[in-house]
Amino acid sequence: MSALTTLTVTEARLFMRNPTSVFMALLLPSLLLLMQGFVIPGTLEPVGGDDPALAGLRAIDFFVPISITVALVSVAVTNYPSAIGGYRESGVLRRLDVTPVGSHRVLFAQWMVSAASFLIAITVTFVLARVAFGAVGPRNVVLVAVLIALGTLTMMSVGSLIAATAPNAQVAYGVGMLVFMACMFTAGMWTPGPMMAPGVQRVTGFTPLGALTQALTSAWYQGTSELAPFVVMSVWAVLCAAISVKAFRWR
Amino acid sequence: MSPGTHRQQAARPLGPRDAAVTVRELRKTFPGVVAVDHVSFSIRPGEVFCILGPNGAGKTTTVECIAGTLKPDSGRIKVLGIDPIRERQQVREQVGYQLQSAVLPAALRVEEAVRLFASFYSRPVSVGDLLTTVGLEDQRRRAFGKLSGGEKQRLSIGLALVGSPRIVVLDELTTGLDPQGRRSVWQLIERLKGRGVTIILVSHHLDEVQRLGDRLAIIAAGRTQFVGTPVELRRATSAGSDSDRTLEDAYLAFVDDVDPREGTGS
Repeated sequence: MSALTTLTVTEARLFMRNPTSVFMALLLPSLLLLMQGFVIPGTLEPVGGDDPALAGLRAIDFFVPISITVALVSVAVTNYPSAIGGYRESGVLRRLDVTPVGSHRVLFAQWMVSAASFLIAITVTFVLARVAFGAVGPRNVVLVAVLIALGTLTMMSVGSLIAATAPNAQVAYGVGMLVFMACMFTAGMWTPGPMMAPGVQRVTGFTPLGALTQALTSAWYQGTSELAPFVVMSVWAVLCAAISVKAFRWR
Repeated sequence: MSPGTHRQQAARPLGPRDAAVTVRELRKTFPGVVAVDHVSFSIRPGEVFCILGPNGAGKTTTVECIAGTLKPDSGRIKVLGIDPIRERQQVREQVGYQLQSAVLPAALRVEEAVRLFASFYSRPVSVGDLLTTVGLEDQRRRAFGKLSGGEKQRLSIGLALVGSPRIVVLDELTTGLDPQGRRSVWQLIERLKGRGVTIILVSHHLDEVQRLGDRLAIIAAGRTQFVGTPVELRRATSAGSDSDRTLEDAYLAFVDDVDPREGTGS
Protein backbone atom coordinates (compact mmCIF):
# COMPACT_ATOMS: atom_id res chain seq x y z
CA MET A 1 0.00 0.00 0.00
CA SER A 2 1.17 3.53 -0.67
CA ALA A 3 2.21 5.78 2.20
CA LEU A 4 -0.89 7.93 1.82
CA THR A 5 -3.28 4.98 1.85
CA THR A 6 -1.56 3.43 4.85
CA LEU A 7 -1.66 6.75 6.70
CA THR A 8 -5.36 7.16 5.96
CA VAL A 9 -6.18 3.60 7.05
CA THR A 10 -4.16 4.14 10.24
CA GLU A 11 -5.93 7.43 10.97
CA ALA A 12 -9.30 5.73 10.43
CA ARG A 13 -8.34 2.97 12.88
CA LEU A 14 -7.24 5.48 15.49
CA PHE A 15 -10.47 7.40 14.97
CA MET A 16 -12.54 4.28 15.61
CA ARG A 17 -10.53 3.52 18.76
CA ASN A 18 -11.15 6.96 20.22
CA PRO A 19 -14.56 7.05 21.97
CA THR A 20 -14.65 10.86 22.08
CA SER A 21 -14.15 11.13 18.31
CA VAL A 22 -16.78 8.52 17.60
CA PHE A 23 -19.26 10.23 19.91
CA MET A 24 -18.64 13.76 18.62
CA ALA A 25 -18.68 12.72 14.99
CA LEU A 26 -21.20 9.94 14.70
CA LEU A 27 -23.55 10.03 17.68
CA LEU A 28 -23.88 13.64 18.82
CA PRO A 29 -25.82 14.89 15.76
CA SER A 30 -28.29 11.99 15.94
CA LEU A 31 -28.72 12.37 19.69
CA LEU A 32 -29.39 16.10 19.31
CA LEU A 33 -32.01 15.37 16.70
CA LEU A 34 -33.68 12.72 18.84
CA MET A 35 -33.67 15.03 21.83
CA GLN A 36 -35.27 17.83 19.84
CA GLY A 37 -37.97 15.49 18.56
CA PHE A 38 -38.80 13.54 21.71
CA VAL A 39 -37.87 15.77 24.64
CA ILE A 40 -38.43 19.39 23.62
CA PRO A 41 -42.18 20.03 23.48
CA GLY A 42 -43.88 21.34 20.34
CA THR A 43 -41.19 20.45 17.81
CA LEU A 44 -43.57 18.14 15.96
CA GLU A 45 -46.17 20.88 15.37
CA PRO A 46 -46.14 23.05 12.22
CA VAL A 47 -44.27 26.30 12.85
CA GLY A 48 -46.53 28.35 10.57
CA GLY A 49 -45.20 31.67 9.31
CA ASP A 50 -45.80 33.77 6.20
CA ASP A 51 -43.79 31.79 3.69
CA PRO A 52 -46.23 29.32 2.09
CA ALA A 53 -43.42 26.93 1.10
CA LEU A 54 -42.27 26.61 4.72
CA ALA A 55 -45.50 27.13 6.63
CA GLY A 56 -46.45 23.45 6.68
CA LEU A 57 -43.10 22.35 8.11
CA ARG A 58 -42.59 21.32 11.71
CA ALA A 59 -39.70 22.57 13.86
CA ILE A 60 -38.16 19.09 13.69
CA ASP A 61 -38.00 19.39 9.90
CA PHE A 62 -35.76 22.40 10.29
CA PHE A 63 -33.56 20.34 12.58
CA VAL A 64 -32.68 17.91 9.81
CA PRO A 65 -30.36 20.31 7.96
CA ILE A 66 -29.23 21.74 11.29
CA SER A 67 -28.18 18.30 12.53
CA ILE A 68 -26.27 17.73 9.32
CA THR A 69 -24.33 20.94 9.82
CA VAL A 70 -23.72 19.99 13.47
CA ALA A 71 -22.24 16.67 12.31
CA LEU A 72 -19.93 18.59 10.05
CA VAL A 73 -18.84 21.23 12.50
CA SER A 74 -18.23 18.86 15.41
CA VAL A 75 -15.66 16.90 13.43
CA ALA A 76 -14.14 19.95 11.76
CA VAL A 77 -13.58 22.09 14.85
CA THR A 78 -13.12 19.52 17.63
CA ASN A 79 -11.94 16.10 16.41
CA TYR A 80 -9.64 17.23 13.64
CA PRO A 81 -7.87 20.09 15.47
CA SER A 82 -7.41 18.07 18.66
CA ALA A 83 -5.90 15.18 16.69
CA ILE A 84 -3.38 17.53 15.03
CA GLY A 85 -2.73 19.44 18.28
CA GLY A 86 -2.02 16.10 19.97
CA TYR A 87 0.38 15.13 17.17
CA ARG A 88 2.21 18.41 17.59
CA GLU A 89 2.57 18.00 21.34
CA SER A 90 3.65 14.36 21.31
CA GLY A 91 6.18 14.84 18.51
CA VAL A 92 4.33 12.80 15.87
CA LEU A 93 4.55 15.71 13.41
CA ARG A 94 8.31 16.00 13.99
CA ARG A 95 8.73 12.25 13.72
CA LEU A 96 6.88 12.14 10.39
CA ASP A 97 8.91 15.10 9.20
CA VAL A 98 12.15 13.07 9.29
CA THR A 99 10.69 10.35 7.04
CA PRO A 100 10.74 10.63 3.24
CA VAL A 101 6.98 11.33 3.09
CA GLY A 102 7.04 14.32 5.46
CA SER A 103 4.39 15.35 7.94
CA HIS A 104 1.94 17.23 5.71
CA ARG A 105 0.41 14.00 4.45
CA VAL A 106 -1.03 13.25 7.86
CA LEU A 107 -3.24 16.32 7.36
CA PHE A 108 -4.57 14.86 4.14
CA ALA A 109 -5.26 11.57 5.95
CA GLN A 110 -7.17 13.49 8.63
CA TRP A 111 -9.25 15.25 5.98
CA MET A 112 -10.12 11.92 4.36
CA VAL A 113 -11.16 10.36 7.65
CA SER A 114 -13.18 13.48 8.56
CA ALA A 115 -14.96 13.45 5.22
CA ALA A 116 -15.79 9.77 5.61
CA SER A 117 -17.12 10.31 9.11
CA PHE A 118 -19.33 13.21 7.87
CA LEU A 119 -20.85 10.98 5.25
CA ILE A 120 -21.64 8.31 7.80
CA ALA A 121 -23.00 10.83 10.33
CA ILE A 122 -25.16 12.54 7.70
CA THR A 123 -26.59 9.21 6.54
CA VAL A 124 -27.32 8.04 10.08
CA THR A 125 -28.93 11.38 10.99
CA PHE A 126 -31.13 11.42 7.94
CA VAL A 127 -32.26 7.79 8.27
CA LEU A 128 -33.13 8.47 11.90
CA ALA A 129 -35.08 11.62 11.04
CA ARG A 130 -36.96 9.71 8.39
CA VAL A 131 -37.79 6.70 10.54
CA ALA A 132 -38.53 8.50 13.82
CA PHE A 133 -40.17 11.68 12.56
CA GLY A 134 -41.15 11.00 8.97
CA ALA A 135 -38.85 13.72 7.65
CA VAL A 136 -38.91 14.32 3.91
CA GLY A 137 -35.88 13.96 1.64
CA PRO A 138 -34.19 16.95 0.00
CA ARG A 139 -36.06 18.56 -2.86
CA ASN A 140 -32.86 19.32 -4.73
CA VAL A 141 -30.37 16.53 -4.06
CA VAL A 142 -27.63 17.95 -6.28
CA LEU A 143 -27.76 21.37 -4.66
CA VAL A 144 -27.75 19.79 -1.19
CA ALA A 145 -24.72 17.67 -2.11
CA VAL A 146 -22.86 20.69 -3.49
CA LEU A 147 -23.65 22.69 -0.36
CA ILE A 148 -22.49 19.89 1.92
CA ALA A 149 -19.24 19.60 -0.05
CA LEU A 150 -18.60 23.34 0.11
CA GLY A 151 -19.62 23.44 3.77
CA THR A 152 -17.16 20.62 4.51
CA LEU A 153 -14.31 22.51 2.87
CA THR A 154 -15.26 25.69 4.71
CA MET A 155 -15.54 24.13 8.16
CA MET A 156 -12.35 22.09 7.71
CA SER A 157 -10.59 25.37 6.86
CA VAL A 158 -12.02 26.95 10.01
CA GLY A 159 -10.86 23.89 11.99
CA SER A 160 -7.42 24.19 10.38
CA LEU A 161 -7.04 27.61 11.97
CA ILE A 162 -7.18 25.87 15.37
CA ALA A 163 -5.14 22.89 14.18
CA ALA A 164 -2.42 25.17 12.79
CA THR A 165 -1.20 26.53 16.10
CA ALA A 166 -2.77 24.63 19.03
CA PRO A 167 0.14 23.44 21.19
CA ASN A 168 -1.71 20.31 22.33
CA ALA A 169 -4.94 18.34 22.11
CA GLN A 170 -6.54 19.95 25.18
CA VAL A 171 -6.15 23.51 23.94
CA ALA A 172 -7.40 22.52 20.49
CA TYR A 173 -10.39 20.80 22.05
CA GLY A 174 -11.21 23.73 24.34
CA VAL A 175 -11.02 26.33 21.59
CA GLY A 176 -12.88 23.95 19.29
CA MET A 177 -15.71 23.58 21.80
CA LEU A 178 -16.15 27.37 22.00
CA VAL A 179 -16.27 27.63 18.23
CA PHE A 180 -18.64 24.65 18.19
CA MET A 181 -21.08 26.37 20.57
CA ALA A 182 -20.96 29.59 18.57
CA CYS A 183 -21.57 27.61 15.40
CA MET A 184 -24.56 25.80 16.95
CA PHE A 185 -26.09 29.19 17.72
CA THR A 186 -25.52 30.58 14.23
CA ALA A 187 -26.88 27.35 12.76
CA GLY A 188 -30.11 27.91 14.69
CA MET A 189 -29.90 25.00 17.10
CA TRP A 190 -31.97 27.02 19.60
CA THR A 191 -33.96 29.05 17.09
CA PRO A 192 -34.58 26.77 14.10
CA GLY A 193 -35.67 28.14 10.73
CA PRO A 194 -38.13 31.03 10.91
CA MET A 195 -37.91 31.15 14.72
CA MET A 196 -34.66 33.08 14.42
CA ALA A 197 -35.41 36.80 14.33
CA PRO A 198 -34.85 38.23 10.81
CA GLY A 199 -32.22 40.66 12.05
CA VAL A 200 -30.23 37.89 13.73
CA GLN A 201 -30.69 35.75 10.66
CA ARG A 202 -29.14 38.42 8.49
CA VAL A 203 -26.10 38.59 10.78
CA THR A 204 -25.66 34.82 11.14
CA GLY A 205 -25.92 34.62 7.35
CA PHE A 206 -22.40 36.03 7.27
CA THR A 207 -21.01 33.24 9.49
CA PRO A 208 -19.91 30.05 7.76
CA LEU A 209 -22.36 27.75 9.51
CA GLY A 210 -25.24 30.25 9.44
CA ALA A 211 -24.81 30.58 5.70
CA LEU A 212 -24.64 26.82 5.27
CA THR A 213 -27.72 26.11 7.36
CA GLN A 214 -29.85 28.75 5.66
CA ALA A 215 -28.80 27.61 2.19
CA LEU A 216 -29.22 23.96 3.11
CA THR A 217 -32.70 24.56 4.51
CA SER A 218 -33.93 26.33 1.42
CA ALA A 219 -32.27 23.79 -0.90
CA TRP A 220 -33.82 20.97 1.10
CA TYR A 221 -37.39 22.24 1.27
CA GLN A 222 -37.68 24.71 -1.63
CA GLY A 223 -35.12 23.29 -4.02
CA THR A 224 -33.28 26.57 -4.50
CA SER A 225 -30.68 28.68 -2.80
CA GLU A 226 -29.52 32.24 -3.03
CA LEU A 227 -26.02 33.01 -4.19
CA ALA A 228 -24.97 34.86 -1.04
CA PRO A 229 -24.29 31.77 1.15
CA PHE A 230 -21.94 30.37 -1.51
CA VAL A 231 -19.99 33.60 -1.54
CA VAL A 232 -19.90 33.80 2.28
CA MET A 233 -18.65 30.20 2.63
CA SER A 234 -16.07 30.55 -0.13
CA VAL A 235 -14.64 33.68 1.42
CA TRP A 236 -14.37 31.99 4.84
CA ALA A 237 -12.83 28.88 3.27
CA VAL A 238 -10.16 30.75 1.32
CA LEU A 239 -9.36 33.15 4.13
CA CYS A 240 -9.05 30.50 6.86
CA ALA A 241 -7.09 28.14 4.60
CA ALA A 242 -4.64 30.89 3.67
CA ILE A 243 -4.07 31.92 7.29
CA SER A 244 -3.70 28.29 8.41
CA VAL A 245 -1.12 27.49 5.76
CA LYS A 246 0.85 30.60 6.73
CA ALA A 247 0.59 30.00 10.48
CA PHE A 248 0.93 26.20 10.58
CA ARG A 249 3.55 25.10 13.10
CA TRP A 250 5.11 21.80 12.19
CA ARG A 251 6.90 21.44 15.53
CA MET B 1 31.41 20.25 -5.21
CA SER B 2 31.31 23.91 -6.12
CA PRO B 3 28.56 25.73 -4.28
CA GLY B 4 26.71 26.91 -7.38
CA THR B 5 25.89 23.54 -8.92
CA HIS B 6 22.40 22.20 -8.42
CA ARG B 7 22.63 18.84 -10.06
CA GLN B 8 21.10 15.88 -8.26
CA GLN B 9 23.64 13.83 -6.43
CA ALA B 10 22.95 10.27 -5.49
CA ALA B 11 24.19 8.77 -2.25
CA ARG B 12 27.03 6.57 -3.40
CA PRO B 13 28.82 3.64 -1.80
CA LEU B 14 31.53 4.89 0.51
CA GLY B 15 35.16 3.96 0.29
CA PRO B 16 37.07 3.18 3.48
CA ARG B 17 38.46 6.71 3.60
CA ASP B 18 35.16 8.53 3.00
CA ALA B 19 33.25 10.05 5.89
CA ALA B 20 29.63 9.03 6.45
CA VAL B 21 28.87 12.51 7.76
CA THR B 22 30.89 15.70 7.74
CA VAL B 23 29.93 18.85 9.57
CA ARG B 24 32.03 21.96 8.99
CA GLU B 25 31.64 25.22 10.93
CA LEU B 26 27.92 24.69 11.48
CA ARG B 27 26.02 27.71 12.74
CA LYS B 28 22.31 27.79 13.55
CA THR B 29 20.44 30.52 15.39
CA PHE B 30 16.88 30.77 16.59
CA PRO B 31 15.25 34.12 17.34
CA GLY B 32 17.33 35.54 20.18
CA VAL B 33 19.53 32.45 20.67
CA VAL B 34 22.64 31.11 19.01
CA ALA B 35 22.03 27.37 19.23
CA VAL B 36 25.30 26.22 17.67
CA ASP B 37 28.29 28.03 16.26
CA HIS B 38 31.55 26.53 14.97
CA VAL B 39 30.47 22.90 15.28
CA SER B 40 32.69 20.62 13.19
CA PHE B 41 33.33 16.89 13.13
CA SER B 42 33.30 13.96 10.76
CA ILE B 43 31.88 10.51 11.30
CA ARG B 44 33.36 7.37 9.80
CA PRO B 45 31.19 4.70 8.19
CA GLY B 46 30.18 1.94 10.58
CA GLU B 47 31.23 3.65 13.79
CA VAL B 48 29.17 4.60 16.81
CA PHE B 49 29.72 8.33 17.13
CA CYS B 50 28.49 9.94 20.35
CA ILE B 51 27.52 13.56 20.72
CA LEU B 52 27.77 14.71 24.32
CA GLY B 53 27.19 17.96 26.07
CA PRO B 54 25.18 19.76 28.73
CA ASN B 55 21.46 20.29 28.29
CA GLY B 56 20.75 23.03 25.81
CA ALA B 57 24.26 22.85 24.32
CA GLY B 58 23.00 22.35 20.77
CA LYS B 59 23.23 18.56 20.40
CA THR B 60 19.72 18.08 19.05
CA THR B 61 20.03 21.14 16.81
CA THR B 62 23.17 19.61 15.32
CA VAL B 63 21.56 16.26 14.53
CA GLU B 64 18.44 17.95 13.18
CA CYS B 65 20.65 19.81 10.73
CA ILE B 66 22.22 16.48 9.76
CA ALA B 67 18.77 14.96 9.23
CA GLY B 68 17.77 17.93 7.07
CA THR B 69 14.87 19.09 9.25
CA LEU B 70 16.65 22.31 10.18
CA LYS B 71 18.39 24.55 7.69
CA PRO B 72 21.78 25.77 8.94
CA ASP B 73 22.47 29.51 8.85
CA SER B 74 25.96 28.78 7.64
CA GLY B 75 28.50 25.99 7.49
CA ARG B 76 28.54 22.83 5.41
CA ILE B 77 27.03 19.42 6.02
CA LYS B 78 27.42 16.34 3.86
CA VAL B 79 25.61 13.12 4.61
CA LEU B 80 26.86 10.18 2.51
CA GLY B 81 28.31 12.81 0.20
CA ILE B 82 25.02 14.67 -0.32
CA ASP B 83 23.51 17.89 0.99
CA PRO B 84 20.70 17.21 3.49
CA ILE B 85 18.78 20.37 2.60
CA ARG B 86 19.05 20.25 -1.17
CA GLU B 87 18.56 16.48 -1.34
CA ARG B 88 16.13 16.13 1.56
CA GLN B 89 14.31 13.15 0.11
CA GLN B 90 17.52 11.19 -0.50
CA VAL B 91 18.87 11.90 2.95
CA ARG B 92 15.62 10.91 4.64
CA GLU B 93 15.70 7.58 2.84
CA GLN B 94 19.22 6.98 4.16
CA VAL B 95 19.02 8.39 7.68
CA GLY B 96 16.80 6.73 10.27
CA TYR B 97 15.95 9.03 13.12
CA GLN B 98 14.83 8.15 16.61
CA LEU B 99 13.62 11.38 18.16
CA GLN B 100 14.09 12.44 21.71
CA SER B 101 10.78 11.80 23.50
CA ALA B 102 8.61 11.35 20.41
CA VAL B 103 5.48 9.49 21.34
CA LEU B 104 3.16 7.53 19.06
CA PRO B 105 -0.63 7.59 19.44
CA ALA B 106 -1.45 5.40 22.45
CA ALA B 107 -3.99 3.31 20.53
CA LEU B 108 -1.60 2.46 17.68
CA ARG B 109 -0.46 -1.17 17.80
CA VAL B 110 3.15 -2.25 17.40
CA GLU B 111 2.72 -4.01 14.08
CA GLU B 112 0.54 -1.21 12.69
CA ALA B 113 3.19 1.34 13.56
CA VAL B 114 5.90 -0.69 11.82
CA ARG B 115 3.75 -1.25 8.70
CA LEU B 116 2.88 2.44 8.60
CA PHE B 117 6.50 3.56 8.74
CA ALA B 118 7.53 0.82 6.29
CA SER B 119 5.13 2.38 3.74
CA PHE B 120 7.15 5.62 3.85
CA TYR B 121 10.34 4.12 2.43
CA SER B 122 11.27 2.75 -0.96
CA ARG B 123 13.26 -0.21 0.40
CA PRO B 124 11.74 -1.18 3.74
CA VAL B 125 12.90 -4.20 5.72
CA SER B 126 10.43 -7.00 6.36
CA VAL B 127 8.10 -6.29 9.25
CA GLY B 128 8.66 -9.70 10.83
CA ASP B 129 12.47 -9.36 10.72
CA LEU B 130 12.34 -5.92 12.22
CA LEU B 131 10.13 -7.02 15.11
CA THR B 132 12.54 -9.86 15.80
CA THR B 133 15.51 -7.49 15.69
CA VAL B 134 14.01 -5.22 18.31
CA GLY B 135 12.60 -8.12 20.34
CA LEU B 136 8.95 -7.19 19.99
CA GLU B 137 7.73 -10.17 17.97
CA ASP B 138 5.44 -11.24 20.82
CA GLN B 139 4.00 -7.74 21.23
CA ARG B 140 2.69 -7.26 17.67
CA ARG B 141 -0.89 -6.65 18.73
CA ARG B 142 -0.17 -4.52 21.79
CA ALA B 143 -1.03 -0.82 21.76
CA PHE B 144 1.86 1.63 22.06
CA GLY B 145 0.31 3.07 25.24
CA LYS B 146 0.49 -0.36 26.91
CA LEU B 147 4.21 -0.95 26.29
CA SER B 148 6.88 -0.57 28.98
CA GLY B 149 9.42 2.24 28.68
CA GLY B 150 12.07 -0.09 27.28
CA GLU B 151 9.63 -1.61 24.78
CA LYS B 152 8.54 1.84 23.60
CA GLN B 153 12.15 2.80 23.10
CA ARG B 154 12.93 -0.41 21.21
CA LEU B 155 9.92 0.22 18.95
CA SER B 156 11.08 3.77 18.41
CA ILE B 157 14.52 2.47 17.39
CA GLY B 158 12.81 -0.12 15.19
CA LEU B 159 10.93 2.63 13.36
CA ALA B 160 14.25 4.40 12.78
CA LEU B 161 15.54 1.19 11.16
CA VAL B 162 12.53 0.29 9.05
CA GLY B 163 13.77 2.01 5.89
CA SER B 164 17.06 0.03 6.01
CA PRO B 165 19.04 3.24 6.59
CA ARG B 166 22.84 3.48 6.39
CA ILE B 167 22.91 6.01 9.21
CA VAL B 168 20.80 5.96 12.36
CA VAL B 169 20.45 8.93 14.71
CA LEU B 170 19.48 8.01 18.26
CA ASP B 171 18.64 10.97 20.47
CA GLU B 172 18.48 10.48 24.27
CA LEU B 173 18.32 6.75 23.80
CA THR B 174 17.89 5.51 27.35
CA THR B 175 16.79 8.56 29.33
CA GLY B 176 14.08 7.52 31.75
CA LEU B 177 14.55 3.78 31.31
CA ASP B 178 15.06 1.32 34.17
CA PRO B 179 18.30 -0.73 34.23
CA GLN B 180 16.72 -3.68 32.40
CA GLY B 181 15.31 -1.36 29.74
CA ARG B 182 18.69 0.28 29.23
CA ARG B 183 20.44 -3.08 29.03
CA SER B 184 18.05 -4.37 26.36
CA VAL B 185 18.42 -1.18 24.32
CA TRP B 186 22.21 -1.34 24.56
CA GLN B 187 22.25 -4.94 23.37
CA LEU B 188 20.15 -3.89 20.40
CA ILE B 189 22.64 -1.13 19.51
CA GLU B 190 25.52 -3.60 19.73
CA ARG B 191 23.74 -5.92 17.29
CA LEU B 192 23.19 -3.02 14.88
CA LYS B 193 26.81 -2.04 15.10
CA GLY B 194 27.69 -5.59 14.09
CA ARG B 195 25.75 -5.04 10.85
CA GLY B 196 27.81 -2.02 9.81
CA VAL B 197 25.19 0.67 10.30
CA THR B 198 26.68 4.06 11.19
CA ILE B 199 25.18 5.21 14.48
CA ILE B 200 25.01 8.75 15.83
CA LEU B 201 24.21 8.62 19.52
CA VAL B 202 23.17 11.78 21.32
CA SER B 203 23.57 11.22 25.02
CA HIS B 204 24.62 12.59 28.32
CA HIS B 205 25.09 9.23 29.96
CA LEU B 206 28.80 8.57 30.17
CA ASP B 207 28.34 4.86 30.92
CA GLU B 208 26.44 4.55 27.66
CA VAL B 209 29.16 6.34 25.74
CA GLN B 210 31.82 4.20 27.44
CA ARG B 211 30.04 1.01 26.49
CA LEU B 212 28.87 1.81 22.96
CA GLY B 213 30.92 4.67 21.59
CA ASP B 214 33.86 4.43 19.20
CA ARG B 215 34.43 8.16 19.10
CA LEU B 216 32.74 11.17 20.58
CA ALA B 217 32.28 14.90 20.20
CA ILE B 218 31.62 17.23 23.09
CA ILE B 219 29.45 20.20 22.25
CA ALA B 220 29.26 22.91 24.90
CA ALA B 221 28.35 26.56 24.64
CA GLY B 222 27.39 25.90 21.01
CA ARG B 223 30.88 24.75 19.90
CA THR B 224 32.65 21.44 19.44
CA GLN B 225 35.06 21.35 22.33
CA PHE B 226 36.53 17.91 21.74
CA VAL B 227 36.49 15.19 19.08
CA GLY B 228 38.19 11.86 19.64
CA THR B 229 38.01 8.45 21.26
CA PRO B 230 37.05 7.93 24.93
CA VAL B 231 40.68 7.03 25.64
CA GLU B 232 41.87 10.25 24.06
CA LEU B 233 39.38 12.22 26.13
CA ARG B 234 40.72 10.71 29.35
CA ARG B 235 44.27 11.37 28.25
CA ALA B 236 43.49 14.96 27.26
CA THR B 237 42.20 15.84 30.69
CA SER B 238 44.47 13.83 32.98
CA ALA B 239 47.35 16.31 32.43
CA GLY B 240 50.06 13.73 32.87
CA SER B 241 49.01 12.81 36.41
CA ASP B 242 47.01 9.77 37.51
CA SER B 243 45.77 7.96 34.44
CA ASP B 244 42.82 6.12 35.91
CA ARG B 245 40.21 8.84 35.84
CA THR B 246 36.78 7.70 34.76
CA LEU B 247 35.32 8.93 31.51
CA GLU B 248 32.80 10.92 33.54
CA ASP B 249 35.57 12.73 35.44
CA ALA B 250 37.27 13.50 32.17
CA TYR B 251 34.08 14.75 30.58
CA LEU B 252 33.18 16.95 33.55
CA ALA B 253 36.67 18.38 33.74
CA PHE B 254 36.40 19.23 30.08
CA VAL B 255 32.97 20.80 30.26
CA ASP B 256 33.79 22.68 33.48
CA ASP B 257 36.80 24.21 31.77
CA VAL B 258 34.64 25.42 28.95
CA ASP B 259 31.47 26.48 30.64
CA PRO B 260 31.52 26.50 34.43
CA ARG B 261 27.82 27.45 34.59
CA GLU B 262 26.55 24.23 33.14
CA GLY B 263 29.13 21.53 33.63
CA THR B 264 28.62 20.72 37.27
CA GLY B 265 25.85 19.36 39.36
CA SER B 266 24.51 16.52 37.17
